[in-house]
Amino acid sequence: MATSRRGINLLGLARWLFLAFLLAFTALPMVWMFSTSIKTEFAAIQQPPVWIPAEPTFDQYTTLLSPANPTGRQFLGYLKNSVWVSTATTILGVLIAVPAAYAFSRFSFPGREPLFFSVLVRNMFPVVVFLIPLFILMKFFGLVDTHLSLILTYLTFGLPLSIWLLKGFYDNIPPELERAARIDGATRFQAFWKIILPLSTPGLVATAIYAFIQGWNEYVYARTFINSQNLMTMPVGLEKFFTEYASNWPGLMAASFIMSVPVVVLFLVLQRHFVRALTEGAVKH
Amino acid sequence: MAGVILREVTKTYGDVVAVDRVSLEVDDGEFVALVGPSGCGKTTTLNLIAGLIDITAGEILLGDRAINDLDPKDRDLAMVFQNYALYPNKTVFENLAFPLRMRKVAKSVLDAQVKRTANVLSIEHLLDRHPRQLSGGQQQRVALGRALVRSPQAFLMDEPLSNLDAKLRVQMRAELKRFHQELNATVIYVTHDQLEAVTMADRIAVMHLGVLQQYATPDEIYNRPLNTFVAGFIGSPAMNLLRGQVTTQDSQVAVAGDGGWLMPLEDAPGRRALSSSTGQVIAGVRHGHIRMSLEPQAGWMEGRVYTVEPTGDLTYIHLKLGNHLLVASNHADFRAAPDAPIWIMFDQDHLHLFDAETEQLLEDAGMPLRVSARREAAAV
Repeated sequence: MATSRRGINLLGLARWLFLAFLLAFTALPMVWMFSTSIKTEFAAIQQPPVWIPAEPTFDQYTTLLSPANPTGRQFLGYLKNSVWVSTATTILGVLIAVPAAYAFSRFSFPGREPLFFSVLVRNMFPVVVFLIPLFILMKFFGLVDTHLSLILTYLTFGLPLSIWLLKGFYDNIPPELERAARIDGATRFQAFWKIILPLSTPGLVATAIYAFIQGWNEYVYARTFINSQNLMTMPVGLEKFFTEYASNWPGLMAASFIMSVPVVVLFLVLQRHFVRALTEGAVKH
Repeated sequence: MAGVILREVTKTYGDVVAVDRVSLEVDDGEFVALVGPSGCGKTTTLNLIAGLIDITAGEILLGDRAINDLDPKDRDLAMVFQNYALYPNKTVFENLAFPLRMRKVAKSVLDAQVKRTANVLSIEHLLDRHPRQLSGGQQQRVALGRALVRSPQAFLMDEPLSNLDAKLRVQMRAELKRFHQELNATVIYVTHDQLEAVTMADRIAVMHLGVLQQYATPDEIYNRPLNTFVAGFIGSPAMNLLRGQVTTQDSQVAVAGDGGWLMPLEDAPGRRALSSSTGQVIAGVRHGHIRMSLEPQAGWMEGRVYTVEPTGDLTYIHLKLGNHLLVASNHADFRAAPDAPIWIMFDQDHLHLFDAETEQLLEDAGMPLRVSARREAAAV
């Protein structure tokens, strides 16, 4: 009894240590980022580095977030562009992924399997492989240096996983629910809208977060397709920021911190759904 | 309420015929069970009636209107599913209210109707709960309530009891039967459990491989199965079926089987045996219609006890007759040692004879005994 109890405790301890390691691995860069962002420019390159600055200052944040000065104006412009591109990607992504996933899950039609497979094929190739072909395509359609080029690209890359994730979700909802609804007096669409859609909320949330982050973080395509300063999204904007203010580490870190806030907040608010979606929807078959 | 008529209803998937020209008349207020093994087409037939699947050919009538081209929502039928299909994100009240909301029933009427239904099924205290907070039996009632709430023309039930444990199933079986009797409802009930069919239904439709095998009252199905499939499917333990050769000796007709057994037949079964086209028959006898003796009896067949199963109110004796393994039943304290010799005779009034090739019941056409004629022919 005593040994098995100790065995359990050791296992518990090992688990905690592992979790602590993971937490440190993910959280420390964030903490360092924030710590640097509230340092003075001099303190940021001070040796040895300190975790807690002696004279913390929020100057960088006030500069970045005030439209009154040029740096702030530029930064808020990037922020606005990122919000717009990511939101549009998210909304369009959900609007397309939901019916596509539902169709793959519920209807049998000729070519269903190959089509579903081909949806996933895109994920077999690295993103960079498509950079030049897509650039040529965008040029052909006259979309270079527009937000639409980014939105379309992010949709192309985000949809396969979104559809796959949502299909797993719909597969887990018994088809009898729609049948019951249809016999109870609903049309096929009403059965979907009133019964199935509410049940797939966790899947929708997961898909939406995924699509949003996809747009929010993407750098390579944003760097290639967009030339105009006023159209740039934040990941690219940060780089500009960096070259212009080469020595301004606190400024860069403050901007990075602001950029990571929406994603963290999104996760915190919706994490329950997200975890449910990943465990219930896609994995359990 | 209204009756349901199926005329030559067929459903094919490519080359596969799931339902093959099924014709069926369900009277207004009748409880009909569709029964058969899995894959026999019974659930497909129910879904065709519900409109969840489109029929390939044929016609379905509800009352006197054809409904086969209508949307499920316009057919005015209600359905209870095997897994209940309760809406998980809605409360019991909203589950019951859903069919009424879809029909845009006024709020006051809706409230009253939901309350009345909940009252009938004793689930008023559950109205605020969600389905996952209910026991299996309670979920079953809610599913039934959702079907009941809007007084449909007929009820379709797809194995509604098969997810319940054995004890609750017996209880709900009685409740469903009672519910049918009180409402005088038209019910089409799909089950793979022949006991449910026999105990609840006014008439039973036995299906196999998409084809309707027999449609009759439980008594008739049990006592006069039209083919070996129905004979073997209805009744538990299953009817014993033995293949044998029809022989005639000195005007005595008998069936001879593998392993050397010979069963003399009386006049009526003898006539039926002789009408077999191939001279081969399948003899069917239920466990209760086998007489047994541990002492030798003249004219009886000798078999060997295989095993004895006391169940409390009956004892089942599995015995070997030639190469066949039979199940017979006797009174509760009947005992016999394994491998002991046992003499048996089939109750000839309850002997079913089937053509060995077509597997159809051989019926007494009332024609005169042809044995003498044959014997004369043989003598010439």
